Amino acid sequence: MSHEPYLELAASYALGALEGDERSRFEAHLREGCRECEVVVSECGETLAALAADLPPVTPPARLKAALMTRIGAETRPSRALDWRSPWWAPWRLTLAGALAVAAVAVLYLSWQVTTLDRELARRSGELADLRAKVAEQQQLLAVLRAPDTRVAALGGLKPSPAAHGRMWWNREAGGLFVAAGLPAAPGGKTYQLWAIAGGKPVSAGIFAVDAGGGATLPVKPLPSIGNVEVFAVTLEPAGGLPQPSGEMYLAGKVL
Amino acid sequence: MVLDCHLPAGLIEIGYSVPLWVPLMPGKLPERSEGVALIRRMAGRDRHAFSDFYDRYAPLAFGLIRRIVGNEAEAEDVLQEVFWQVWQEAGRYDIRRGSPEAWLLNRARSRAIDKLRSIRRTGETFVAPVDERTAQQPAGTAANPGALAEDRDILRTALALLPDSQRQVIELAFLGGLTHSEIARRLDQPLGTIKTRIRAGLERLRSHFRPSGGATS
Repeated sequence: MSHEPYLELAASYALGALEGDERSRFEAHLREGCRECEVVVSECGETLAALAADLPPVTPPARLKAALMTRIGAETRPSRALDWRSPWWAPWRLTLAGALAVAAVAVLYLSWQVTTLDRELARRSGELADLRAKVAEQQQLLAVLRAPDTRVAALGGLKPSPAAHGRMWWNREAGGLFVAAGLPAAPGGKTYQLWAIAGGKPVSAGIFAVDAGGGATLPVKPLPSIGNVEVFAVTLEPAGGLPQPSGEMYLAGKVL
Repeated sequence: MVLDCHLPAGLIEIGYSVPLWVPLMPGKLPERSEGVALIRRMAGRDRHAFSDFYDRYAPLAFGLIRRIVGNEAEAEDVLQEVFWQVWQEAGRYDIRRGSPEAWLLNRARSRAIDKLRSIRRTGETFVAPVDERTAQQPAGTAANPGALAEDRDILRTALALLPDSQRQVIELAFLGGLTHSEIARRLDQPLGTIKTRIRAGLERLRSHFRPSGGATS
C-alpha cells in the first residue's frame, strides 16, 4: 500500500486529532515498522513542541515543585540502601563488597583451620591408641609382677652367644615379661622366637627383635594351652616364626 | 534533509540519518544536549537532575497546559502528573525518537487535552458557548473559554504566520484537543478539507522552525 494515505494522516496523528478506526489503522501501520511515517510523526512532534515552546512560559507555584520533590524523595529513600541501579561506588555496594571480602577471607581461614585441626586430631588419636596399648601392657606387667605366684626364670647364653642373658617373669594366669641383653642382631630374614616348654613340649611365646645394644623386651600373654612351664628358651627362626623350634638355641633357663 | 509533513511520498526517501531534532533549532543545540543529560541522570534516580529539569522546563510546560486546560487548579494537577511521569519514565527516553522538549511538551499537551476532554465530558465547562463562539469566529479563536484573554499570546507565536484557515484548525486541535471530525463538524467543513489544512499548516510551521528545510506550501 502506498504511504500517501498514511502520510496524509501523520500530521493529524501527531496532533492527536485522529480517532477511532483511522487512529487504529495508523498505529497498526506504525507498528508494522514504517520508518517513513515514524519519521514524519516525529518531525511533526518536534514542530508541535517548538510551537508549544513558543507560548509564553508561566512559572508554576513553588509548592508544586516542593510536593513533587517530596514524592520523589519518599519513593527513592526506602529503596536507596539496595537500589541495584545505583553506581558501583554507592556506599551500600562498597559496604557489601567489603563484607563479602571479609567473609571470603574468614571462610578460607576457617577451612584451613579445620584441615589443620583434623590432621592434629588424627595424630592425637593415634597417640592415644598407642598410649592405651602401652598402659594396658604396663598394667599387665604390673599384675604379673605383683602376683604372689609369679615365678622367675634366669636365661643363660648358649653357644652362639655365651655373653647373652635374659630373665622371664611368668604367671600362669596373667602372662609374663621377658627381657634379654647381649644378643647379637638377628641376620636378615631371621627373628628370635621365645618358647615356653612344658613336659618337653615347646609352645611359642612370641617373636622379638633386639635393639642396637642387643637388648629386647617382650610382654607375653597367658598361654592357656600349656600347663606348668618348666623352661623358657630362645631360638633363631625364619622371619615370622614357626610353630615348632627349628634353629639354634641362644638362651635357655629353668623356671624356678 | 527535506522531510516534512507535506511532501509527496517519493521525496521522503531522501535521508533520515540525521538525528531528528538536530536541525529544528540549531541555536538551542547545547541546551538540548543538556536536557538529554538531565533525563539520563533522572533515569539513574538523580533527584538533583529532576530538580534542574523541572526548573528548566516546568514554565514552558505550565504555560502550555494552562493555555489548554484553562483552569489554574486543573493545570497544576496536570503539571504534577506530567513531571511525575517524566521521573518514572526517564529510563525509557530514546533520543532517536525526539528531543527532550518534544518528549516533555507533547506529553504535557497530551495529558492536558485528556484533562480538557474529561472536563468537557463531566460538563464542568461551558461546552455550548465554546462551540458556538468557535464556530462563529472563523479565525484566531481560542479552543476553550479560559484561553480567549490570551489570544494576543497566540498571535505572537508562529501560529500567526499561518493563513487563518490553517491557524484555526491547528489551534482547535493543538490547544482545543478536538479531533478531525469534531473540527469538521464545528467548522461545517468536509473532513478532507480539515486534514489538508492541518497538514499544510503543520508543514508551514515546520519550515518556520527549521528555516534550513526546503519546502514551503
